[in-house]
Amino acid sequence: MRLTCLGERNGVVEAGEPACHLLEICDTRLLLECPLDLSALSYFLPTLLKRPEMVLSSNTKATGYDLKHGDAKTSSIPSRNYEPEHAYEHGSSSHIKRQKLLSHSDADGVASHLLCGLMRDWNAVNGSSPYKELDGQILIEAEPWYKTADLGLVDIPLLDAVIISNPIGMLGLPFLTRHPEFSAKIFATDATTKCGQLLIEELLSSHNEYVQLYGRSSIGKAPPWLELKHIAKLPSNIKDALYGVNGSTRANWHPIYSVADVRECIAKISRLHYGEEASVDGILVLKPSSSGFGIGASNWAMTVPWSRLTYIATSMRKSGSAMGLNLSALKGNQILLLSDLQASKMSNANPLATFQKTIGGDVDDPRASKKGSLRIRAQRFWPRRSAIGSTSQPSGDIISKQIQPCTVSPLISAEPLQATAMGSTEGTPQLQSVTSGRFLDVKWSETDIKESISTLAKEVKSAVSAGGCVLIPISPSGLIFELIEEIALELRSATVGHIPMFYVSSAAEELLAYSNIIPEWLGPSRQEKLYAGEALFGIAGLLKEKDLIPLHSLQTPEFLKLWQEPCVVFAAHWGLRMGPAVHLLHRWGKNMDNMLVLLEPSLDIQLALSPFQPLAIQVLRLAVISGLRPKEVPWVIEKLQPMFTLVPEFLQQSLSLNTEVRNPTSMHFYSSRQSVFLQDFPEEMQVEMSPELAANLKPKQLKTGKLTVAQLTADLCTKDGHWSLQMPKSSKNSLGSSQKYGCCWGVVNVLALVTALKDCGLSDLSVTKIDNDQSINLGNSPLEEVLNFDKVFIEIYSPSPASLAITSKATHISSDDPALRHLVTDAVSRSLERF
Amino acid sequence: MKIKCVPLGAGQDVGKSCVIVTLGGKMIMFDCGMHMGYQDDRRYPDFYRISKIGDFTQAIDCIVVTHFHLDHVGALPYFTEVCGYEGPIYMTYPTKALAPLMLEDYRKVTVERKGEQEQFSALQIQQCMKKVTAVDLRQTVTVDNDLQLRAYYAGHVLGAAMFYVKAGDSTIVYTGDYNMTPDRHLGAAQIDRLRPDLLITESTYATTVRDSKCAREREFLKSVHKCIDDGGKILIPVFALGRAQELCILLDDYWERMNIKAPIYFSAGLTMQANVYYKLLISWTNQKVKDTYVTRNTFDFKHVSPFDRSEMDAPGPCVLFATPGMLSGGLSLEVFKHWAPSERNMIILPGYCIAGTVGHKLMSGKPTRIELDKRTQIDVRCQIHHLSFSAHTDAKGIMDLVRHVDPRHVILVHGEKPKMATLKNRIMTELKIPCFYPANHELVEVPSHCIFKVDLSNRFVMHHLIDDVNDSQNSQNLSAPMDDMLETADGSSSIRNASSYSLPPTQVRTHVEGIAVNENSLRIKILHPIEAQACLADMKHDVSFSCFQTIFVEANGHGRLVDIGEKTILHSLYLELVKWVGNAVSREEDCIIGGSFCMRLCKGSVTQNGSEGQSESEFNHGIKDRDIGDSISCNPSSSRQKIEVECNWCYEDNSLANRVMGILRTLNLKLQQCLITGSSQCKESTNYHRY
Repeated sequence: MRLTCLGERNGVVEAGEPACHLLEICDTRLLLECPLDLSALSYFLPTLLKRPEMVLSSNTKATGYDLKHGDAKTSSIPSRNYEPEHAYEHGSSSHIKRQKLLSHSDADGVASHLLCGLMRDWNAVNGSSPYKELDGQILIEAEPWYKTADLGLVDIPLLDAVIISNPIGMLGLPFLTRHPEFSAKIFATDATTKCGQLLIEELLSSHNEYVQLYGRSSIGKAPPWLELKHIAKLPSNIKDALYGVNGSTRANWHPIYSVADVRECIAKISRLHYGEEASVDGILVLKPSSSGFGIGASNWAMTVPWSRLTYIATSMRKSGSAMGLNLSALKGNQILLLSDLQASKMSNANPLATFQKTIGGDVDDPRASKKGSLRIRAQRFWPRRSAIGSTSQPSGDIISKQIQPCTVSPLISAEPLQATAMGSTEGTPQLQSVTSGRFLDVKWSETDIKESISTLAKEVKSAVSAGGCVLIPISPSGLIFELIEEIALELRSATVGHIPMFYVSSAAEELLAYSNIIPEWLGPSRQEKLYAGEALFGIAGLLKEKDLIPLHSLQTPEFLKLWQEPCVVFAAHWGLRMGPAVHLLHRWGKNMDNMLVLLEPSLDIQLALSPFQPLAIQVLRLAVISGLRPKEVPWVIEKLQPMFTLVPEFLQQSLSLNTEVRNPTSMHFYSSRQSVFLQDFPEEMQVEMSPELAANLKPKQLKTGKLTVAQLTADLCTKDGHWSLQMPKSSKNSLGSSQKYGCCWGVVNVLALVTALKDCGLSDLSVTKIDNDQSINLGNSPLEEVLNFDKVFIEIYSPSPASLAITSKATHISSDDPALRHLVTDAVSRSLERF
Repeated sequence: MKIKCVPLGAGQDVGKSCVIVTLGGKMIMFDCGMHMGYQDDRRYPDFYRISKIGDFTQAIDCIVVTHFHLDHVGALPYFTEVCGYEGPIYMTYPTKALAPLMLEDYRKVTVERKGEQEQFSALQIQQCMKKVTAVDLRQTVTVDNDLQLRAYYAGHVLGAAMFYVKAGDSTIVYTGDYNMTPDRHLGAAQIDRLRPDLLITESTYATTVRDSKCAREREFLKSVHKCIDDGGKILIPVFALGRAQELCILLDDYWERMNIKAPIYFSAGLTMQANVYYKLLISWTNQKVKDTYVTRNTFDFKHVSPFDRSEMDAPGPCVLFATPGMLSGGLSLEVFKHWAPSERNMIILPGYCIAGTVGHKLMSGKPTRIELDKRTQIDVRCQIHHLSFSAHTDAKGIMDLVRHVDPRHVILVHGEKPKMATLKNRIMTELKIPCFYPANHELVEVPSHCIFKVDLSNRFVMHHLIDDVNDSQNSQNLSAPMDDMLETADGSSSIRNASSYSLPPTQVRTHVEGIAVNENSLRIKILHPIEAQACLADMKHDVSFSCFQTIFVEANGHGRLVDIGEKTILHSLYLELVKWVGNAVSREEDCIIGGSFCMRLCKGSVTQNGSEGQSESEFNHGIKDRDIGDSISCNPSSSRQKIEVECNWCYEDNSLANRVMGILRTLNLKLQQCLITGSSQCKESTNYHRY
């Protein structure tokens, strides 16, 4: 068995890139998951500054759209709606505003907003650099590309199967399936396939919206930001984050897939139920079981004739509404592969962007000074860790400036979070509020998901009560159902009148409808609702009463009809770079009453928010920690009792310190782009023997007594991972065996030998039998009496002389002619009476 | 191992399905139904046949319920709550959700309307359902180490399933009721080719071959439409679940298309409640219905509203779905009393009606007056339609299923005796599968498929399935195939073999050879022949070889071989062989060995006899002249001289020996001065002479 970790980050969940492995077992090559590194999306600008020519056409198209759908009022509203003062008024919640949020002018707005002195080219000398520096972050100005795991290490035509455990693991799948030589089977649970499809389609529609607004930055050729000459100038931390150490992951970037790619990809997936067995090439049998990570999310038991392997993908010990982690279905397997573990340290996906920039000559660079003022403004709203690097060091006429942008994440991370991750301060969610421009961080600890959600709901309620709007960027998953339910409950108790909830996503309608037809994938408490004949989630009622309104996008006529502020909006987002969340954040960001809720632990807040600075909106971070925590690893091992355990390398220390691992499992540690080998096990393979074959065996008792032995010639057959010995179809002579294995058994039947020799044309021979020291010449046609003998000599005279001396235990052949020797040997081995 | 099967119900009968099967040391109860035709003890299966003392939990390993119809689940609360069974119970999610509805409905009808004593309470139904484990389709459920079961889609009603059970080595498929053709909301039954030891199948329509469903649907809709146009009221007595939804989809769709305004009513309580369940469980319907869930759930009927009793005598046409089916009581019978006397109205009876019910009376003949009880009589003037919209498969479907599943034995249940006999004969003659149709309490024993479990040793498996590259490379050097022996002799074929890298075999069938060993009558173990050597030591037959070979030597006029000395010749021979076979051979004091292979110069050493001509002829005549000549002959005038070597080896090293012999035969050994003078640092040169 061989395991190769294809991800850059050793299967650490929080770093953003879910694990991806290549598993070779029993001559079967399996790809475990095919995710995208979504954290890399944050490095793109949410807009294009330099519009390519073709944008104009899409722009006019958008204008045409406006004229058709927008009323006179809409088109007369000036496009500068990013100014909070103009955007909306407070207090009058019943006042329905029909404002155009998104139009060509909005695109202009974003661009001009970014340009107003905040943005400068990363490379001042060469203005054409695709990298821009903004608010101390370096961002790519280009149409987003997507980063997969190291699929270059996979020989795609030789891949036998792809296993997808959760929707996140499916995002990169169309990149794989569109490969012309891809022929592997894909396995995922039915619900994972459905949710994954919605997720992929949402990505596609968000991307298409981006293209429609800003145009494509490059078509059919490698974009400039992937060119080595530009990459070389980047500071190393960004370089590593985007292109891996030494630029090794530069080839992992792909342009977006097409609708057809996705359709084909989805059609190729074999959809399974929990506990349904599926076989790969008839050798390996797969069986998914629930992992607790979400609706349809699964772990896998794999059985090959020699061994059984448990693959634990992203799992949660205590799940929300989805069916819980089921370890009992995985018991008794020898190998345990743990991936997607929560990092022991809350990793900041992006270390502080500290870099130096030299500006020749111009000391009073207006942009530089503006930068400074921005910093001060940012400090007002955003906490800063310390004063590191905030000093500027003028040296001669060269300004060497260290830019220390507003830092958010250090505050969140640091000690308390790490402690939570290690489990020492479990319990109530930790809230950290920050003076002026509140920044809240609720750590999602698994023991109290419900509590965390209700904390969130209360925060939402208070924000809405104060007349603000709440934006919750979220991707389609089971989590959204629980959030909606809880927030709706809180809103109902609020005294501010009717506050609608919107879910803006291309997947909205389908996902909400889907929530009500999946009882098989939910936990026991939700299943009770099925048996009671109630809706599984409270969503159906909310939809009916128009408390919750699904919107396909912000460009639909329904939007204009139904939009109302203040409101709570769940919106699709991709690293806060694409999708409706971007437009809404842009609209609401300047008002302190509004609230932004960030749920993804992999999101680097500082980086993600940098294009939107300055922001006044309250930010509530509720990191939904997925994956088992390191301290739960011993518990899993204890439960499953494997012989071998494969865990990511970063756990090596914490596990060796942990005295809980007492059971005799042998630990192996894997790290990215390295293979771990495990020897196949000395366990014997059990197969079935067909009754016909068993009846055909002719066992012989050996003289020593206990043993009976029989020669076996059979066909080893396999069907759906089930092995059996059947009657041989081809009638191959069993002669082969003695030659192949260089060994003979039995006693020579002299009669048969002489016949065999004669059949070869060696009839010129004589047989001499020595019995009780008497030599009897039997001529060339021995009779029955040769059956009992001490020793027999056979002399062959032509074509060349040869002689055989045969006893019951041994035969000696003397011949100088190789061809003759071959014939004689053949005859002897054929006339051996075996058992 | 035998599989024992006893039907406690539904043997040569329809109703109270309950089949006890013992296989692989496990006892399983399939279905636990009640008989609707009886009001006494006969309504339940005779459970005390399972255990005389009534310890059912001990006796039965698990209960499997295929679907929520009362004749399959009706006796379950009685069995668990009254008889005290506490073991595991398995059914699909929809069955678990819907069975309590059916049971509760039945309880109400018997207690509240008929005034009988209840067999179980509402609370007992709930308690019973709590003990049920819900399973998903195709989910392999492990009951205990030796017992596994798996549900397959059966299509009969929502959540109906066939169950595959494996206990030890014995396997069985119990179909429950199933439908091989899709209907308005359900798909067709789907099952794998499982080849079980025993298939227990329903045979409700054992001889019927049904025509196309479309025609019947059209006819149904036409008569409904006509009746509505005439201002009539239509009563459709149905069970709350299944048929009601199917007909409703049909009518709702028709209403939409034809723009009919007449209302469709569902009798309030149960049927409307059932629709909620259908909406939640839409993933158990057929693909077409499943696809509608986003836009409008198929079970959100547009034209359907709940029925209020006040509308019973309201004017104007309408359609009413009322429970219970078969007009056995409740609302449907009440409405029937009101509507039956009018000629404009219509009663549609979908499906089967059990003897003794009003529905049965209506179906048999065309009665004009029906006696409900001693006091009430009803004039029946309305139109009566019977719809055979049965969700059971027909004879062809049963045959198709049996052929597809390919069992070793078939048992028919859930049917009528004469029809079952006909079907049995068909299965025996057409499919050549032994078939039985036991009556209730009649035992059928069938042999279970005999399987021998054997262990394959690792080496055996590796050898046959994994063509280890290393292994084959090693063997290239040591054992060239015997058949290629002559070719191998010049050393060329080994290179060719090494290049033929073989991909891992993925074929379904691999020819294998090995030794089956059985020690102390424990498990049979299959060994690789080499592994078997240890235990077969006294069976071994040693085959050994010896031969003489002539070698030509050129000493390039550096004197006679006698002077050169045996050791030098041997050494240069050795150096020559190493070139070809590598370290497979090594040099000892007076011989070259490689495993059991041993080569030495013949005694008698070096003489002056023989010339080149002679040696040629001697070679051509082979070894005949061996005894006359000494092994190393030398002609001082000629540079070519010959020596003779003797080789011995055992069978194991046959291939090495064959290679060496091949090399020797074509060898033209050149001894150079330096070598002759004994300087070992000097390199000798040789060339090969092909004869």
